[in-house]
Amino acid sequence: MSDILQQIASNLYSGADKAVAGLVQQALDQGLTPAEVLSGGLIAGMDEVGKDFKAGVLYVPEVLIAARAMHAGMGILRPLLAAGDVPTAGKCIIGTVEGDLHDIGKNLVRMMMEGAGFEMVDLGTDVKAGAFVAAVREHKPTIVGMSALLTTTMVRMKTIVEALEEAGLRHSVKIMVGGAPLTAAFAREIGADGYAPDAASAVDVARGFAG
Amino acid sequence: MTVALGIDTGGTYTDAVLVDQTSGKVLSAAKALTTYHDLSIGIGEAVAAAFEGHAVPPAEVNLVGLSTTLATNAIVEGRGSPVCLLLAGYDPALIRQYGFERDLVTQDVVYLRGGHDGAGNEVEPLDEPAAREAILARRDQVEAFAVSGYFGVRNPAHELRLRALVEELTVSANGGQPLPVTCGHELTTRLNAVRRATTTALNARLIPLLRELIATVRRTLDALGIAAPLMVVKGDGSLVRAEWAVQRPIETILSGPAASVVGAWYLAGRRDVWMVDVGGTTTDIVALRDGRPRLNAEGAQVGRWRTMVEAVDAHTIGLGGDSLVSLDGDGRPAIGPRRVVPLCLLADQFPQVVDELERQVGVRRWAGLAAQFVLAQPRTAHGLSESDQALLQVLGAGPQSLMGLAERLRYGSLVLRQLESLEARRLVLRAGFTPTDALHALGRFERWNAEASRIGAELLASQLDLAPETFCERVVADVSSRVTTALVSKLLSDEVAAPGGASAPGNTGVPDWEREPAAAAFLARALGQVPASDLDCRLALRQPVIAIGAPVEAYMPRVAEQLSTELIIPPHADVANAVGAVAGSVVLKLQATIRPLDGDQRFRLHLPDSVLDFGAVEEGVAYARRVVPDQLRALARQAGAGQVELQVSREDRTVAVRAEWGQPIYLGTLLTFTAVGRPGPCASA
Repeated sequence: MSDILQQIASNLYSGADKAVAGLVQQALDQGLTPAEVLSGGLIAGMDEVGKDFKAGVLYVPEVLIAARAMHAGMGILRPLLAAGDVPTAGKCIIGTVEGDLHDIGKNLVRMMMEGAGFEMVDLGTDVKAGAFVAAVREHKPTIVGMSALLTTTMVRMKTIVEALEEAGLRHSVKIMVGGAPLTAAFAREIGADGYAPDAASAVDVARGFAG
Repeated sequence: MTVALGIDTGGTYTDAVLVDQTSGKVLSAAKALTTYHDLSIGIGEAVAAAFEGHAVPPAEVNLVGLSTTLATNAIVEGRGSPVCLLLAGYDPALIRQYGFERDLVTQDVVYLRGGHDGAGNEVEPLDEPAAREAILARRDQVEAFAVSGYFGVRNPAHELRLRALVEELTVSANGGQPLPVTCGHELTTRLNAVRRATTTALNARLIPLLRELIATVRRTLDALGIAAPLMVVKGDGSLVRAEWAVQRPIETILSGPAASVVGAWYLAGRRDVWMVDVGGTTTDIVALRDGRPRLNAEGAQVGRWRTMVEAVDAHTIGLGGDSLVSLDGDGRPAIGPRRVVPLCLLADQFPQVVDELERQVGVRRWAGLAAQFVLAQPRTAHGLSESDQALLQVLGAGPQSLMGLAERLRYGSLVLRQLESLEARRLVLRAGFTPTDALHALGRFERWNAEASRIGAELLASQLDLAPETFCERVVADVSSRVTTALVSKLLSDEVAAPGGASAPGNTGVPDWEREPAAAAFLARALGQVPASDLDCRLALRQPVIAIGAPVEAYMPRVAEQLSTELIIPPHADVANAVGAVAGSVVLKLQATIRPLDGDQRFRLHLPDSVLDFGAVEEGVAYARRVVPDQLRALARQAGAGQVELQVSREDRTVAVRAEWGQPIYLGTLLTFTAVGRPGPCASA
């Protein structure tokens, strides 16, 4: 039984999206529950991807391909997973800040976090402070993730932290930031709760908040 | 000789002292009971007693300082005048969604279009017609207005406009005097629109109350022939002119502990200490660092409200000399948090109480009510039921024992419940056995009727099969251990971040010992409560403890021993808080911040009352340095300072980016202007 889960994980690792989809269906036909397939197959595979990405064994394109395979598997599982069935690691809204159109890093974080069992709400790119506040109100996440790839736009993160503060919602969320020009010192200075230098560590930081 | 008169209205006593300002000597000190229904009565008695038998003519007094619990008590009890809260640019849907309505203090909230963004740009113009209409509709219903704008601390334009509108529209209807208005940006520079609204509304609601107190105190002083300016202690220990405090009563919260710590510093002359003030009702613990009380950066919490007022970071527990000693279910003495009149004091005023206590010895029925009395407070109340009135009439004749009432009246337990509700409304006072009685019974404190205390101790001790002396010793030791525990709790909460962060709402960070059994076991051993243990623990506090209040000699030596530290009990420790009411200075702060606008080409200077743009950071800094000092000096004089000393500190915020990404990013500059001055006679508001 666990054989097939291992096959799902290893196919996911190598990015074989069609194979993953087929194996997920097969596992369900064998009588495994959707939750078992998710945690034992897809999330286990994504964890391996995260580890090797962090260690420099895998690079961004491979992670993106693995994430696509994850999506293929999720496409089958999602309708079957009743609410509460999945032990969600937490809810997170994520977006690239106003004036910044870079989305590869943000998407990578989103997919890695999805892979780790987080429920992700992607606000896209060029997201204004008001839109972050509105999204916090609508989705009531535990985590707000922000991305910026320009030294000129990273200061906007401060504006967003302040907007949440002024709205009285700052204490209802944990804020994590990331992006190539950022540093941990910058994250502290603007009042964020966490900083992740790359997508794999973003998952660790988020798990730290959720746990 | 220049003499200052310091007054402190505490939970139980009102203290008055005369201090020679040249020599720093305390010339005389006196106490009277705090009169809750009208604080000025107790103040008048204490002040008159301080002058009695001393050769200081009242006309020689050149400064009067008052620390008052009025604001704190009124907030905790939910008292205050009807106010209207005008909010510009707030989102009512968000307020409702998160249940923030209950943080807005008043039901009368008006949402107006307007408000700014984080950079101080107007989001929407202020809806003036709607504002006018709201103000006109309410000018006869409310006693004050509170005004807060979204991001009003980044641009106060809408708050200032609303203030002008309120003043314009209420001046004629109010006999030439506009209704008081409080604006959020005057009280804080911090973000969080909801908490600013809370703070602003609480302030507005207190204005009429404090104004009335100041007026009656002024009359009391006039009657005594004291014409000196009246100053009030703020929650950070500094002084402001009474007229100024009336506009910002919220800043006087925690004025009691603040005065205590300033007084302790003044009398003992030590700069790094832990101050413990054992009062009648509560015990306050505050750290003094480098001669200044440590302030709570997160804003003071009072009752269920978290304000944005920077006040002393006091840890207050409901334990004092006049806390009720009761027996808990397991037959152990439990002390506080309820404050009562000590038996010895009651018997001092009503000697017949001793006979009733003697009668109760050996009586088994209603033994749980032994040694407790109730008496009516001399004040009128409206909306009382017939049975309330009848009960108050019975009590009007003098104190009645609870046991006697339960025996005489048919529905004893119903009467007890009725009494509880009358007590909550401060129409009835309770008297009972207290730590003060334990000290009287042991002969360690002699002020009132020790006989009443001795019989009271006997009544309670017999229920535990203890000798009265053993029981009293246990009560006194319990007070010490509770104070030590509170000090350790406060210290740990400061040094060890609580889960969720110390700043999380509602999280005071004080350890809950019941949920930390291992830690509690260590603490119990360190307090010497587990003599049979193989493990001997010691606590050692690095700073000395200064104890003030009365009578600290009885409780504090054991605390210092448990903490292996030096104990300082300064002379006049029992009135240190009143000394603190005249020992402080006027301290005012204004901040100016400069932030980069988008594109780094322009910089915005946020001044306390306006916003200006500049092409370079240094231009903005120069401008602020030019205009703010004069503004601050004028304010400091209004606040009561004589000679003003001004300091400016500058903090530039830049942060590095990753190595290969270029220059550090400029985030802003904070200029803090501080004015300090001893109270002076020349000022006028």
